[in-house]
Amino acid sequence: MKKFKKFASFLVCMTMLTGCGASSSEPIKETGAPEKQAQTESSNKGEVTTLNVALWDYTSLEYHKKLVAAYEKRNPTVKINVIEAPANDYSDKVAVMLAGNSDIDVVFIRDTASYTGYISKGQLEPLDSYITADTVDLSAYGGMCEQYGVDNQIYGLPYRKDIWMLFYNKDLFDQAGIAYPTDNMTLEQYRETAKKLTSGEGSDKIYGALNNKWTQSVSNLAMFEGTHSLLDGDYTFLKPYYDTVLAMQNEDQSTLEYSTIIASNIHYSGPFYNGQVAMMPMGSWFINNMLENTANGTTAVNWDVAALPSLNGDIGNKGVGAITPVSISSKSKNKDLAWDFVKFVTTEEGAQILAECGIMPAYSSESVLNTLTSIKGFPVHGKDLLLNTTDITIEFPVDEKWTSINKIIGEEHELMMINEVGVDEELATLSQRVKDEVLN
Amino acid sequence: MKAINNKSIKKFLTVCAFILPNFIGLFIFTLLPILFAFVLSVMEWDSANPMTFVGIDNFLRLFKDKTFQIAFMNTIYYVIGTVPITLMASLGLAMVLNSKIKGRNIFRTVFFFPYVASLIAVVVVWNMLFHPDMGPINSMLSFLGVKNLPKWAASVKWAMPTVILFSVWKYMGYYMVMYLAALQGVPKELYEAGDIDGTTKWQRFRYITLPTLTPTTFFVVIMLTIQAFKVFDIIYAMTDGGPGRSTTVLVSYIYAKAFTEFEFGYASAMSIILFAIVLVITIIQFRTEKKWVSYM
Repeated sequence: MKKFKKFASFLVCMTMLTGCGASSSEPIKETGAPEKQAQTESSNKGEVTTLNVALWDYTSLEYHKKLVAAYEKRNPTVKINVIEAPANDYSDKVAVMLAGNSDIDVVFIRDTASYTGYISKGQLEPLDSYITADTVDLSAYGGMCEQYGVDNQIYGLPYRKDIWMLFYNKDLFDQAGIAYPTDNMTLEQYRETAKKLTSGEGSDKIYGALNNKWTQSVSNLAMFEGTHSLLDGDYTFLKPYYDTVLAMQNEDQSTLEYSTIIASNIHYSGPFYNGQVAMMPMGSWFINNMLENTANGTTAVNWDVAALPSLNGDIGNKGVGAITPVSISSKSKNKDLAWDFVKFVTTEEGAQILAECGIMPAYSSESVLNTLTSIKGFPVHGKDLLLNTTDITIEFPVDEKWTSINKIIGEEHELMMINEVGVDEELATLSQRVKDEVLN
Repeated sequence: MKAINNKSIKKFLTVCAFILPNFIGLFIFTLLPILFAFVLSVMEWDSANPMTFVGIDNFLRLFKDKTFQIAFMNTIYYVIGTVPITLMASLGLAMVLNSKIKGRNIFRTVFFFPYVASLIAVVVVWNMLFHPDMGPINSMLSFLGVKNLPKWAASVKWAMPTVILFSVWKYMGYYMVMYLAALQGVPKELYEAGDIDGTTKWQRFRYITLPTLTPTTFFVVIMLTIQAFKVFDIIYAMTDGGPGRSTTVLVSYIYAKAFTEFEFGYASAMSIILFAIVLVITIIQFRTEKKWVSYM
């Protein structure tokens, strides 16, 4: 009897322990890349090296799949093991995995905040020596690669690039008999044009413009000029931009209201697809969305792009945007191979694949640009605009303090947009808070 | 003597063996992290670089941190708003649904439903109902002639009341069930005795029902207070601390500091403060228990 008791308690222990073990570890969903071809080719050549690549939305984003497949096709002895997470959880999961010394080799960077975080924790490999050794020409990235450097070291080569531009609905302009926006549009003209294009009431209302809820919908109009900094704790330079955007919202009622966008959880693309919005400042990723949704019949809008409106209308070759870097984990055991993959994705070959999918590659060459702009439905003015935009400022600074500053800007931006506080007072508060809470 | 000792040791070990599996889980996933938080509160740590000891700096920083003060006051606002209202609403519901009204089982289910419904789903519905321009609540108010309609979750002034209203609605059904159970336990003889003495309805409630319910009320108050102090999910889903910082509460600030800014030491210091506040209030509640709670 006693023996039975002992045995029983032991059994209970074991089953519960194993139960615990199974449920407590929840691995990130790992998706084997389309590997058939690579494997059959490599099986007679011998050893296959596995490269662990962290990437978001791999299963749903066509161009991510194509990039990986193309690399495996070119290198039959390499198997890419994609560690996938949904875009919204991606940065957190990678942060946890890197902190836990997981065997990630290549990390696609989703946002600058996590990027500087990884760097400050020493989790990314500086790439300068690799870049010099293989003589990668950084000028092909329009000066953005250097702006993403930290302490004069480069930790990632960009594979995607996004430039902000003004998307407009040509039909609405034609109906109102107004000339299309030019690349030299001033803020004042933007406001006036939007006012003229606004008509109707309620659910049939046509809005002259949509300034999306993000802080960069306002700050990018300023960053565009290339002379401002979001890091130094003085935000009074944002005044003319907030004044214009708020006047459009409150006085002219020519834009979709901020509180409506928030309360109804409106995605900016919807009103544009439906032809309810005449002008919208947005990143160039929206070109790809428009192409896809025109092809599948979601939208029938007749559209084009122009440069963002600016304070004085004279912007030359300037632009504002962001890049998406690809980095190597400092703990990687296959750094040379990882570099080979990074180089493939971020230079001519990878860029061509992205361009074919309608995604703007960070790497810019004439043939890549030709591939991109010859896609069916690509906006008429798009090519000129892209060719002309060579001096690009990054929308958010790459700095460790940015996460904290960005949070404060977000909170105060919200208060301004819902008209709780006046612009002057609010920008003073914002500057003071950033100085007190972050820069002190 | 020795044999008995041996036997009792064996018995003790058998008991331990049964407790062990659960205890290991508790130890690893609850006790260790709690102890770790205490250690972290005097450290500076970003989860990757080595920890550095900073003493009470984290706690001193709290006194200068305006956002912490705002979060603290918002938490108090939320506690003072939710605890009494939820308590009264759940007691009132229980009283009504304990009487013999038609379809009371359906009503009981209806009022309990918010508690089991998915938080995110009901938040989406609430945000539609309380939509400043298109929501039915504001349409109704404007029909009734209210001017300057509140913008609810989209305004600094009304965001917290909206959250409180939501919280009351979501949790009153749960505490209603507790009160219902307690009401079933009120001895009928007391009411009969009251009838003989010619008491009014109010007197029966005040002098018979309420005193017999005090143990339940005591439990509900403690649970509600603790729950209100550690509110996070509702705020995160409804307003994410906004507009501005108007609904930022302690736990949402702790979360932001720890998991978006990776200041684990500072966040731990805040959680220790929160722990201390809840501990002190709970102790006070237990101390005053004898004065108003009657166990029959």
